[in-house]
Amino acid sequence: MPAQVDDAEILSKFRDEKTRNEAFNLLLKKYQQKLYWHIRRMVIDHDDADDLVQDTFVKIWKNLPGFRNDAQLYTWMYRIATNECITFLNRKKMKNNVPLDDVAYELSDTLADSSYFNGDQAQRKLQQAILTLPEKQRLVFNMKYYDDMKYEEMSEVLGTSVGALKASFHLAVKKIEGFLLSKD
Amino acid sequence: MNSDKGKREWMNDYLSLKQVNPDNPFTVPEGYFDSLEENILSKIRLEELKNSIPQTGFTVPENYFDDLAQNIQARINIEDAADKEDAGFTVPGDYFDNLPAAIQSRIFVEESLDQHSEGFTVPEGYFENLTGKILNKTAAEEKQEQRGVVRRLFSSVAVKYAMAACVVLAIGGTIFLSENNSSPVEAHNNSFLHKSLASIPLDDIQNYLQLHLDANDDTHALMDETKPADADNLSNELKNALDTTSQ
Repeated sequence: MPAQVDDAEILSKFRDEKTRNEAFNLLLKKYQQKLYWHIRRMVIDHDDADDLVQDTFVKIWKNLPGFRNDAQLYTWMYRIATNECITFLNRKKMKNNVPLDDVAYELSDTLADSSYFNGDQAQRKLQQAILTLPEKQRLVFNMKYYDDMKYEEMSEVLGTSVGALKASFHLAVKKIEGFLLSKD
Repeated sequence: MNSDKGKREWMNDYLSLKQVNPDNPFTVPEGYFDSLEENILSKIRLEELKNSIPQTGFTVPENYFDDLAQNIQARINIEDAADKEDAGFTVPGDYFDNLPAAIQSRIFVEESLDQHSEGFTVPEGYFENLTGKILNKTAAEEKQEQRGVVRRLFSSVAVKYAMAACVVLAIGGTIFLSENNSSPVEAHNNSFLHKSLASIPLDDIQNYLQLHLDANDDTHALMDETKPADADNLSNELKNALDTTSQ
């Protein structure tokens, strides 16, 4: 795996008209899989995740010229991806005229039917437990459990205080632990 | 992001979760990430192409939408002003309150007139031909007037008196001449006796004379030429004789 280019270098190249496309290619190579998995864990279905990751990078391309260094590049991109996921789930809820909790049931069915899931029984059970969480707790748990993101970084992504995120994560883990213990 | 070592530390408090394999259980189609970069770049180029071409092909003048709200408001103000001008007309007080009754009365009168006129009729097609007749008549009169003006020599009053005088003279002359020039036979035919006896059948007269000639001689008195004939007596005598014979 080639050494990844630093975000500052990518941004510098992007500001130059001549190296803008090169900079964006570097950005894609560095973050496309991270963003894809972040999205995939939220929407479960691969095709939905594929659409959303492409939409996310289109928005990144459009808005990157206006990006300021007051935030980290990758947390800024995570924020865009997260908003795409939330918009998608809300649209799904309105389209089917069901509460958001029922969307979680649909996602659970999608997980059960998905051909792109090769986890064992415990992993499947963990995913089902995660889908029982409210949307924000799911986001916090996934970013902590799979991406091992710091609370400060999550705070930039979600626009929530570190304390609130810690509380959310604590609640989420407790629920998941309870789910794993109570169900076979 | 933290290392794997950091990830494990917080899970020590959650044993059930710690037992689960922390690896990503999701998969993607084979070669997906190899083509993802190209797919994303293609989508970006497509988006840029769509943004560079107006979707409908229609364009509007520069600053059209900036001025649109102001133009619409101005149009609304003009329409409001026009409506207020229309409201400048007024009607007498309670006009619309009485209007239905007035219309009903008018309808009643119209219907009554229609019912009266229904009593009279005209021949079929009368009014269709009336115009033509009037025109023909007026045309004929115009033609006659064009022939010349006929002036009367006498006034109509003088002619009436003259005609009355002529009638009187003719009647009077006829009577006078008939009385002076009539023969004895004609005079007898015109006499009252002849007219009275003419309606009695001849057989009845003969029966009467035979009856009275045999019974007495009163017929002398009747036939006596020296005595003037009494028409009343004669008539009565004849009627009595007829009554007795018929009984």
